[in-house]
Amino acid sequence: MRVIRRGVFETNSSSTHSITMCSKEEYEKWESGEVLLDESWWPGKFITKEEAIQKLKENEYYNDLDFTDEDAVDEALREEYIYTFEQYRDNCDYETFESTYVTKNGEEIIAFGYFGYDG
Amino acid sequence: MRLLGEYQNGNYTVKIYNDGTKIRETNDDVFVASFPECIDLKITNNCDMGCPYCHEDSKLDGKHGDILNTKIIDTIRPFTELAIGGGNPLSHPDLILFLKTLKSKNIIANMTVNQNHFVSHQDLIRYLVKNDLIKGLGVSLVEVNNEFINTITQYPNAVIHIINGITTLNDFKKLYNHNLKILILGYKEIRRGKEYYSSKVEVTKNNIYKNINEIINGFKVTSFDNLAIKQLNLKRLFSEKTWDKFYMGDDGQFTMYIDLVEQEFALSSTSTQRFKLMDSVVDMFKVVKSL
Repeated sequence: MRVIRRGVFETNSSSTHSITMCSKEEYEKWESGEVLLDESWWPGKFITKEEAIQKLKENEYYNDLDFTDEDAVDEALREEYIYTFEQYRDNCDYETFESTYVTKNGEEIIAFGYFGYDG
Repeated sequence: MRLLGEYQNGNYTVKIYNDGTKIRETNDDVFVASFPECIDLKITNNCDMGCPYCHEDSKLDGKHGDILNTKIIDTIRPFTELAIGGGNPLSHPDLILFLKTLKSKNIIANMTVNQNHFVSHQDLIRYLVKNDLIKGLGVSLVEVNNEFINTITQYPNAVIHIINGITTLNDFKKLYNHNLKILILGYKEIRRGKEYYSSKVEVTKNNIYKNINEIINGFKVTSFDNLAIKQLNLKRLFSEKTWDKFYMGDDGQFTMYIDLVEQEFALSSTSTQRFKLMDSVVDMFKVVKSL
């Protein structure tokens, strides 16, 4: 079992639980592969693959990476917690949750993320 | 991300990174901690703010804890997180020496300060962050203004602490879309919080309740403590199944509270059941877990 708390130190005595939310439209773009979920910034934001690759290029750690090798680039993106929809869902090491609800204005919202964490 | 440290705690391992990311892993079905991963540490009851809703009842003549001679520091495991608070921790005369001691022991010091102290003590805060004497920084919101927003956005590891029932929806809106992290804390009806409680607090809480989805979308990170989860009934946003996965249980399984001013420990800062400080954190944690 694996539980993860991303990008935040504990500054409170009580259990802290976090929620990521996005519109259904954003979620569907991720689902269809138009964007990737960048979880290196907790709790995550959606970026294009070009933006993700640029991020790798700006990281000295990947100076020797062959950016023409798609498999190597995909592996590096995963190392940096940047996921396709399938990778996020299929990564069984992580405990994830997802829930849909409709606001009073009729907007569909998706709540998803890693499990909350008691710091 | 850079790995700060890795350790074994009970039946699981913990890795903690320089941006605060923490990963627990075990082959078992549950995590059973032998010592606390995080300790809420009150180092002073001295504060000049006089917030009418202060549940710590901190005062201008509040005492400082003896933080340099306490034995417990020697029993805290490396890479344990300390959530240091008060009172105003910046007012403690031994703060820097204390933080240097923690750093030398690889103990991760996080600290929460009032917004006014955060703004007025920028030189000190910058010094603490620059010298890696604190990692996480919590800032208790008093009033939303541009100076505050511009200042706090300079600190990637800063989280704004907001009390449910104190901050109005209009103030939330002023904070939207600045890439900020917030932690919504439940309103604590104890000490001064009990005296301050009124229908106005309840109206503000109801406004937050009704607009929680809008609030969550206005920030880079929105997180809640257990009390806020209860007061805002966040369970309504989830199916029963997903809620069971999301909710990670009550306080005290990985955390505990130590008051170095009164030389007491407890399950959390709101616990009325207090115990006399022991020499060992592990021994105190056993008591807390048994509650």
